[in-house]
Amino acid sequence: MQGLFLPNDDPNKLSMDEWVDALGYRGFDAILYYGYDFIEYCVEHDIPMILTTRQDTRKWAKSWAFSVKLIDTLSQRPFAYSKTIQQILPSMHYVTKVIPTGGHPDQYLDMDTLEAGYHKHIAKVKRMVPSHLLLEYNVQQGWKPLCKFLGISQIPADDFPHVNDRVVMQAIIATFTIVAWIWPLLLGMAAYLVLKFIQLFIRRFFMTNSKATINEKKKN
Amino acid sequence: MSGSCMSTQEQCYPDSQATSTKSTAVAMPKNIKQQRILVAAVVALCLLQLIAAAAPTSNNNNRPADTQTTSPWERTLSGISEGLQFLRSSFSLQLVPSRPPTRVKLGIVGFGRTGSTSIYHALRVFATRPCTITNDWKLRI
Repeated sequence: MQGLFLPNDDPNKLSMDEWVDALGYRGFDAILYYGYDFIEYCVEHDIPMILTTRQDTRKWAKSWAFSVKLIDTLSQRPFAYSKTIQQILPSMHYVTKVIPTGGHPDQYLDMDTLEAGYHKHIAKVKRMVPSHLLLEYNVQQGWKPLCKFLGISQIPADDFPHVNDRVVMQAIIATFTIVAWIWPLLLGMAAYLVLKFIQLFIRRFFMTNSKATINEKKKN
Repeated sequence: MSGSCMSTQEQCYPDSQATSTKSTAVAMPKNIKQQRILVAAVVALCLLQLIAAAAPTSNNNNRPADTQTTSPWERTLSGISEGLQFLRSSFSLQLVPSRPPTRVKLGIVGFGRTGSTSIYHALRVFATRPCTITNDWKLRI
């Protein structure tokens, strides 16, 4: 996944064509990614796009600033020990801090910068993508516009999914934060358990043997 | 620990000088305390595992808890579970399962927190296989 985001001089660096082809080869037929190089690729290849929007941009900015804490947590220990997490951090930085701030990643928690970045993104996508390839979509609209855009005649009977709300995000971030704080304790606990089991094993095995030997000697 | 050794030693060497009533009496509570810590540790680890495995899902599509149909408590559990699953996968060597090759036919180009995860799960209803950097980040591409 990170092949697209590697430095230009890296031999594993992928072009946009190679990246999209590789994802298709792995069985994916839709990509959620808002990099402008990908949008350009979609326009060139006549791939339709859905631009998800939110009515209240201030609410969006608050929600976004809250969620970005997750990325900050991922750069701390013990996540820093995971090679795979470290590999995706550059792409996360680009996606979560560079694009939404309109190229001002240092101001990624500033509400006004985020709101301006949001409007800039919407305007840029609308400018880049021909109207017949673009659906501007708010999830509150439900299945109907989505089915129409995708050419699906039968609207699903299930309710439209509404997932990952603030409560879920809070729980995810709290979990990550707690783990970042208590991971040495967890490691210690695991080591303690291993040690206890080894001791138990040694005691059961060797002590039983020595007891049997003593009893045997006594009999003799 | 020393208490249990003492008691074992006592059984094995009844005449040993190491066995004194005083030391056994002092060591026993420590031993019980250690056992309780051990049990608490095992229970805590089992609980973490349970939360990670038993995420409240809205339907059989492995969708996280839905805002409209689940309580805040269920959604909190779902969030904890998602976090733990992410952690587990980040330190495991298991790769994303392979699927039949296809071509990319759709792009979702809105920011996160605009309903992108909801649309991700909506597309799966149509048998579409969407890919996100956050959900499928273990892909070696």
